[in-house]
Amino acid sequence: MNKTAISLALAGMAALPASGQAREINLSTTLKDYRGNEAYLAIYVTDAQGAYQRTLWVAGKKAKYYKHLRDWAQGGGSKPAEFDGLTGASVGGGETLDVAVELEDALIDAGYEIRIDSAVEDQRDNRGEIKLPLTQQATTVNGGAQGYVDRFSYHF
Amino acid sequence: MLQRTHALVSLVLGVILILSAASGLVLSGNTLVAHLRAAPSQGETVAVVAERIARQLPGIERIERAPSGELRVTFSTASDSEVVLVDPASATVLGPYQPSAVLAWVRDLHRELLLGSAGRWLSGLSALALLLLTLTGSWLLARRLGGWRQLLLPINPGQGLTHWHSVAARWALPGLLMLASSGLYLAASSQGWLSDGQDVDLAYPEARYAAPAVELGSLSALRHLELNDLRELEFPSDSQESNYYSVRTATGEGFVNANSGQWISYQPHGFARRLYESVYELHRGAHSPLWSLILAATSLACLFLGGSGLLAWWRRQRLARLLPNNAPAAQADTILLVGSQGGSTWAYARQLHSQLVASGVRVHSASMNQLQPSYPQAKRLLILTATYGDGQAPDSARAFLPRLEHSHLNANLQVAVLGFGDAQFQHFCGYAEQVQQQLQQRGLQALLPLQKIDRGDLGELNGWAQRLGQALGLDLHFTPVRNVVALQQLQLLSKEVYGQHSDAPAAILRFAVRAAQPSWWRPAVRFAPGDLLGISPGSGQAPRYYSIASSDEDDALEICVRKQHQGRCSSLLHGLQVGDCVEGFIQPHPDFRPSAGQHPLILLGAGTGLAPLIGFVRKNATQRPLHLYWGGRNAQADFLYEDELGEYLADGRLSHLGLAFSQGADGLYVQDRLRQDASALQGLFAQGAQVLVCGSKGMAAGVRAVLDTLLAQRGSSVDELRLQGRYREDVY
Repeated sequence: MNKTAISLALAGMAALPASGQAREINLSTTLKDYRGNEAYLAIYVTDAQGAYQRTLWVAGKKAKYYKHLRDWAQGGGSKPAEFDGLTGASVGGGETLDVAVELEDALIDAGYEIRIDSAVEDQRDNRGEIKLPLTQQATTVNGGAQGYVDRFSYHF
Repeated sequence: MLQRTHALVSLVLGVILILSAASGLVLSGNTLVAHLRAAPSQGETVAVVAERIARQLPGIERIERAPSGELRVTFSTASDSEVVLVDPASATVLGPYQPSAVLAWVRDLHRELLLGSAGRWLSGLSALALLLLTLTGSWLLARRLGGWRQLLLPINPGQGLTHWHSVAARWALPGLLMLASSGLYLAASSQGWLSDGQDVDLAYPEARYAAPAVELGSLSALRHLELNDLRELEFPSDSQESNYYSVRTATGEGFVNANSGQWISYQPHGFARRLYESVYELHRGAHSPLWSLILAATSLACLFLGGSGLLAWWRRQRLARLLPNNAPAAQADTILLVGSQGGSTWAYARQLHSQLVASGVRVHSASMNQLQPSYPQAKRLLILTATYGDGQAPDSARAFLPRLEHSHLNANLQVAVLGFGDAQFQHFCGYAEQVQQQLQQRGLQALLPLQKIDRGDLGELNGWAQRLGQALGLDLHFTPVRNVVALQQLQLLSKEVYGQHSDAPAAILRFAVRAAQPSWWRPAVRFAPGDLLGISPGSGQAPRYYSIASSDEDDALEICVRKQHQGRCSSLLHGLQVGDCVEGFIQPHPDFRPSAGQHPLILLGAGTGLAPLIGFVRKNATQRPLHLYWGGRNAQADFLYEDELGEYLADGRLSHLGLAFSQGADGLYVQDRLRQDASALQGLFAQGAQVLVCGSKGMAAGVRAVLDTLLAQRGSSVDELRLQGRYREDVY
């Protein structure tokens, strides 16, 4: 399958809290060429203990499947106010999801993590298949053996 | 109007519907297999089973229970991470959970036509189409059967596409209605037009339950939960922190404290969710093997109904092109019903139809099988029918008499029956007579007396048309119908003449056969001894028939023709030279054949009537006892097939040959030989012998008289044998 870029820029602008400084973070998620339906992904920020802080992006539009993005949902991410304006289409095998969202400065280089939960119909749900410290440095990481993510990177 | 809606919906959405039905068949078959494979439930609790499995599988994350009873367990360790199928009773791993890619494809085809979620509304359209078809279809069916109550009563036996369409539809109606409405609901909820109650935000426990987990089996909430009620059990993600189990059951979901074993919270499903779950189960047959079997049968019925319905529609279209301005049955004042075997009766019916329409009569033409229970506006019923074989109904009239029994025709309906046939055959227009008799018995008045038409005789036809015209105050007439049979080109290969100098010489003619208008789709010419070759002496003239002595496996088509005084056809054939060509057609005569088995055969013939009989002898490879009696005029000049018959006596294909020559010193006829051999024939009848007679009317009558006397001694008769299929005649 060829890699299709899905670009959705600045979709999250309106949802930002007015207080504090913020800047734009570019997230790029490439999925493995797995066989099956399109994946639902939740990209979110937690503290060092894994406690949910805020949602960066949700790929997949049907809220009834959000419970399969388990840590994110349990942490409170599946409340509509949390992902309002931060959702887009689900992502197929081999495809790349590129999004740019606003992020408060306070969360950068402060011991927080970016995490990804993923789910595909009739296949396993993965909690936190990507866990990455949130720093000012542009970072790239390869996905684990059991997940759907092949490579994830972010930069400001 | 209803019928038009029914057809229109099928035409527009038929393809999607057929795809849905075919994929639905595969899916329900698969559900059935899953049911049969799943181990029966032991009535254990979630606590017991989950503990058993957790011991076997370190790193267990989740247990999901499919409605069929299948347990899918997700686990993840440092080295391994998988979803596996587990036996609940023993906790043994049965293998990895790998949903088949083919089934996933079929499911996507069924749900969204492989178009992604955009295709879901198309599937919904297909469900809507099914709903419309089921509703209009049941309306049509009730009307056809004569009332809604009839839907619950047995359908009269019948034949043909429309009949089986009705039978299948009647059985499948409840299932189709259920599938259509549940499919429509599911499509609507997947589109978000209806809430399925699943977007309700779950109240995840706020507090951390940091106390260490205790043995799974001792958790009281799980000990009071039957495994059958479980849908999903999620283990604590981090046993040090968020220390609770997430539980989803058939009726709700909630969280269980991993330390105390108490419910932290439990949310029963709301109405929308319960409705969704029930409809989904109903649509998938997920909960009972019997139900999934019923769903599979319903899908199959849907496929059959689609196919037969479209075929029936296509036939109706073709008919409509041939019958312009055909009035609906319910509105016509004149009903024209046709029983046709080869199509020529229909050709005359169309002539009548178009003249009646042109005169402003509201006429409804249909095949006799399509007799309606009633014709509310009808004043007269015209029936044009051929006869098949021994007085039987032609194909398009088979269902007529049974349907007539259950019809409610107006008592003041006036009837005219026109029979088509061939006076050369016995039971000339036999079926038309039966129809006339049945209509009379039902008390219907005759508009005209029964008229029999011999081989399309135009004079007789127009006589009837004129009388019908007078009765209706119209001018009606027929024009000759070109025979629609496939004409064969026959080239003379050899000619053997017997009694050259007598007044009526006989000739054995052998022809090479090829289609007059060869085309790639026309099947090879098929014929067997006893079938007839029809030859028309001139254009527009009724054909003469000759019995065939050979089969298509032989090199030639062989007939035997006596030259008749002033006989145009026989003169034409006698005048042929080797290499000359003539056109003819094959008329199958399946009744005039030896029956299957090894019972003795008695073949009786005179003159050129020997032709089919010698054909039967030639094909007697099994050496079944075969007794041939044949009468000729003169042993010197007239002994057809003399040498060949000698051969067959020698090689056992012929057991006995009884000859009678009328011009010899003894002056014998076949009947005389039969009387002489009376005791031998009695023996043959005792063994179940079959009799085949081929010759003139006079000869056949003489033979019948002799055999009747003979059979009377056994307490039987020719008629009784005839009813048993043991006495067949081919008389000219």
